Amino acid sequence: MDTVAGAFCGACGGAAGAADHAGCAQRLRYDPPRFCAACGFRLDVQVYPAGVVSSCRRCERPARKAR
Amino acid sequence: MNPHQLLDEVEAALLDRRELITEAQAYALADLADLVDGKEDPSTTQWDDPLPRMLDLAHRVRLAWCGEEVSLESILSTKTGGCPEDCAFCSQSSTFNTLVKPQPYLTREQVVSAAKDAEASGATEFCLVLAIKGPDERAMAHLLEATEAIQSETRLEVALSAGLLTREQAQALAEAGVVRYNHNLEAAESFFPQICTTHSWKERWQTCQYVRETGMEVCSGGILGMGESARQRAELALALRELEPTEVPVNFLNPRPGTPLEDQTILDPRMALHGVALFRLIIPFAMLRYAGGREVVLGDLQAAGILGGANGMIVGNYLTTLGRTVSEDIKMLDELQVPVKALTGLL
Repeated sequence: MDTVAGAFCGACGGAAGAADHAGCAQRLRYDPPRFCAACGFRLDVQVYPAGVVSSCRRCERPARKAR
Repeated sequence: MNPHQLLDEVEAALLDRRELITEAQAYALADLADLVDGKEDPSTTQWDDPLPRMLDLAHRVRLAWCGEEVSLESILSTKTGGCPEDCAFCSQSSTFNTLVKPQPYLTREQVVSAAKDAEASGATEFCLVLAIKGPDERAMAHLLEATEAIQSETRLEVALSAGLLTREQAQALAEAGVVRYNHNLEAAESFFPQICTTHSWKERWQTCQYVRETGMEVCSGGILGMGESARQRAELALALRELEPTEVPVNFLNPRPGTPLEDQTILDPRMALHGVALFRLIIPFAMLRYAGGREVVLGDLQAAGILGGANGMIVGNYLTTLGRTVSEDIKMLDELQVPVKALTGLL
């Protein structure tokens, strides 16, 4: 998974280009993204056995991630 | 004690006489951890690494007492985060600043939809998990409604994990048809105060007793790697044995950011395997289920636990973290030529 595919890191919420996110990428191996890639806002996250449903209240953008 | 003599005695008890091992034997097995993790100077100790033989014995005990099948189960959080308790390992505690954002109860429709997905996949059991200290009236209403809904719209058996129960609540859940209730002791009584201050180990014990009294199956286990000693793992396993659990989940601490244990060193994988074998030798009759943290702690050694005492796995994602894919676990079991019991969860 690319933790910094958007403007913000899904693991720490920091700006994608502002820091080394190698540790974040490692964390996202077994953690769902907790921050919106578009705006860096905390996501609402519901983990299901076979996937994750998350949404950003600021962007009002739902996202479903298969796992 | 001579490790070979100890393991001979344990083998004779469990396989020849089909008896439980003694407390003294349990603690002696725990003490083998010093040889497993290299605390004893290899230049002065006369004993070889006991772990391979311990795992082999644990596997043979599992086959003799429980059969060859491995059970797969998945878990679903229907109320995430916002728990008032301060369990030091838990990212769902509202007392810590973690990355888990509290979520409302899943609706009846969401639960039923998930249950139907589970049934369609061949599951026979559906386990709902709530991050709460114990059910209040609203939570009990949610649990009873969800149980009734699943029963009326699917053929699934219902299992629950919703914290501390009163006797009346346990009875109500049993009467509603809940088959199994999970409530982990989490740690040895002697270690528990270092893990949680908002409720006591005895309260957890009492809830498990209430569950037993109602006739529901007891599912209770713990977390290894929170800083406890090997002897405290034996203490936990001995306590669990007294509860006569149907199932014992063995979790490994995956340190969560923002919790008091976030900087806890991840358990050495060989010590984790020692813990699995220790639990099997102390509780030979229960389903020993690999649970959270196995990917992080054991990595490529996960198969060794299946051949070292474990006969159940939680597959797929956990409550707030991700697991391996189910296909990876199925592939591992296939390569080990371990038969899979009917799926008992949300797959």
